[in-house]
Amino acid sequence: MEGGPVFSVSRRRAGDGVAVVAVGEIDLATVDAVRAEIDAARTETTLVLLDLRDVTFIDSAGVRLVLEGSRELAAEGGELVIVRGGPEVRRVFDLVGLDGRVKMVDEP
Amino acid sequence: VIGAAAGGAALGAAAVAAAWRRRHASDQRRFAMIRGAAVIADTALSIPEVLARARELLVPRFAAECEFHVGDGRPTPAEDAATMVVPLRSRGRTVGTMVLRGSFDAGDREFAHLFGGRVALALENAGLFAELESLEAALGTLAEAVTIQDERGQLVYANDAAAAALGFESAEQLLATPPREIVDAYESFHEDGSPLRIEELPGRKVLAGLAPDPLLVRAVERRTGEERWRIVKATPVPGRGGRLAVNIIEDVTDVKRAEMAQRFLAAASAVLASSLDYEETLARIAELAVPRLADWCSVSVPEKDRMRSVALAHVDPEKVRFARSYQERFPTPLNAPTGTAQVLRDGVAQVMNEIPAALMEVADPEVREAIRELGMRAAMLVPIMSRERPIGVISFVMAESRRVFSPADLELASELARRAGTAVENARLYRERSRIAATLQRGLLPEELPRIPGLRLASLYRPAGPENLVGGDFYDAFPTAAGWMLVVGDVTGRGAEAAAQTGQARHTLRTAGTIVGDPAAALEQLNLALADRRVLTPCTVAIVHVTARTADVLCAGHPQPLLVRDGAARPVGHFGPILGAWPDSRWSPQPVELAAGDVIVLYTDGVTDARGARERFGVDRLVAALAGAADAAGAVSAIDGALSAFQRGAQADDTAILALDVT
Repeated sequence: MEGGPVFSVSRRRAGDGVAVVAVGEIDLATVDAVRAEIDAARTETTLVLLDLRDVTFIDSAGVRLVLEGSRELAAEGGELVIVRGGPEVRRVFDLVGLDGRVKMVDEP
Repeated sequence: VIGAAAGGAALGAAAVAAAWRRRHASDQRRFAMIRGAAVIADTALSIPEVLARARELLVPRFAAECEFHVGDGRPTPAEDAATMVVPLRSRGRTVGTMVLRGSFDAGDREFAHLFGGRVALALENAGLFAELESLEAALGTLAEAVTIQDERGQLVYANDAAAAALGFESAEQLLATPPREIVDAYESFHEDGSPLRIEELPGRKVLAGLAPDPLLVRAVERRTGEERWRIVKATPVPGRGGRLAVNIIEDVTDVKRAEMAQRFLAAASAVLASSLDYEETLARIAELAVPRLADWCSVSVPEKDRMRSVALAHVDPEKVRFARSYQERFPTPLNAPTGTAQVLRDGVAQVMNEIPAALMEVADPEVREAIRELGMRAAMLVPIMSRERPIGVISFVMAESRRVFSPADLELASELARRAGTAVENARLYRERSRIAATLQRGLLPEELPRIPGLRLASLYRPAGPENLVGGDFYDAFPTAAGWMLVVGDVTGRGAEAAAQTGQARHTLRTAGTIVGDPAAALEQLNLALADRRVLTPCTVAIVHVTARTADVLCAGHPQPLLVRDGAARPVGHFGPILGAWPDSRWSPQPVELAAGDVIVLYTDGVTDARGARERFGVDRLVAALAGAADAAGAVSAIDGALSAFQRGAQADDTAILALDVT
């Protein structure tokens, strides 16, 4: 998005799983890039960590991504684990009731 | 080289002559012969000419017979009392033999050898002149124009290509023309359009002792208005009379035009793709065409019985104002026999590199004055075709630059018009699509807000950027058995699919809400309907159910509504799970006792997620914007104003706001 902050997403091995690390804002403009990394991670493992510690903003498109990823991995017998982000991200997750529905950790 | 050799010959001849005078002071005849040989050596002659002139000097004054053997392979006769065989040697090299017959003494023999040396030098020089001649012949066949200037800047040589490039019939004609006149025939510019001064030409710089880079020059011939692009290179060469500058002038007009056309069309395509407002697009195309393609560019389309100008561009805004007022006073009627109206009728482009005299005669005196004022020289009118019908005309006019239009210009303009036509067609299709989307969108929102005793409602719906289709935001207000239900929701996603889901969500809530009269049950109903779907369809909803003097507030993954009381806004309602994610979700209402003057604002995340220069709008700014809001309408306009002031760039998401106040 024009004028938007710098966004990046990368993927690396983390223990038994693969961590997808997003940095910046997850919204309609960037969500597809995160989705692509999660899809790529799913071809390698059934344990995907979505590391949101450096994510400063997430909107409904990001929430949908978490719900989808979680549902798809569960269907394969795997799991999507969220590494909790900053206050802005936590507020959105509280708002939609993600706590207790999707596994969340503070450290990968 | 030539000059040095000739100079050496002259000096040598003088020294020899001095020596000769000392020993044979009386023999003026021999002295004259040696001087004659020196003259031969210093004159641009061919080899046969050198030999003929040398023979004239020797026979009969010195010898009865004289023959030269120069590279012809004939056997050299033996020397005897009446035959002298003299080698023609110059700079240690024998170039031939001179055979003299007559009666000679020892002094004669010595003289003959000296004379032979002069002839050899003359022969060598003749060879060099021949080389230069063949160089000239080679230059003459070059496609690049080559000229040679002497120290004063006068042309001393030009090949045929140079003559042709500068508009002369022959090299001789070019050489006979004063340099000032040649330069003045053109108006010359740098690539960036700034005027080129004569001192900046590489040839001039070379003559001034500099080593200039090749220069790209745009030259417009004053007489014809024809535009040429040239790369001019110059190198210094030492000459007989001093330094010479050799100019190589390469005509790159075709290459430059192709390059500019590509660049222009690429820029035009970007402009055409950047907006779906076609009048705005055409205006920007006109800006782009000036001054590269023409001095003026205007775009006009038919409207009622006349041509209406939608774009007009010139580098000088003052002139644009003048032309605009002119266009307003003298609009072209659609039935005009010539000009844009004719092009619009025929769909055929016109190029006029002369403004027809007839136009000047029949035209209104004010029109004539305007044409003079604008200095119109040439015009090119190209139809914009959409679905094979002309829908407008792009006019290009040359004035102060004195240029005319080439076939390449017409080709480029036609291509531009074709692309503009496609863009207009796309814009039309887009408008049609927008209309469909708007119709669909209206189906997602109530036709008008209901009148509710004791409550006043206000709403705002701001769809995302014009290029986006129907979004997933909705709001509704409908009666239940116990009171009134106000709903704001957001289905994640865009386009027709999201619109369909949004419509379904709105109607499910309305139906369940009306029948059951319980907002929590309505949310459960919608959640089950969404959870049944194979494709995940998350949806967030906030409900305010107003019964008597109480409002029950429920949130399903949705931002909490804001209650403005005593001028301060605060969120109300418990957080509840998003709809469509988990079938067993439950929601509980938070009751709020209403007081007169209370304002409740329901909104979608398009408000808080709006992007500003550095940050998102956020809840805090929203709370601040609502401070002091006295009623529903005031609350909505306060948010609208704050958002408009805050937002930077295109709006990324839909925004829906529904507010109520208690009277």
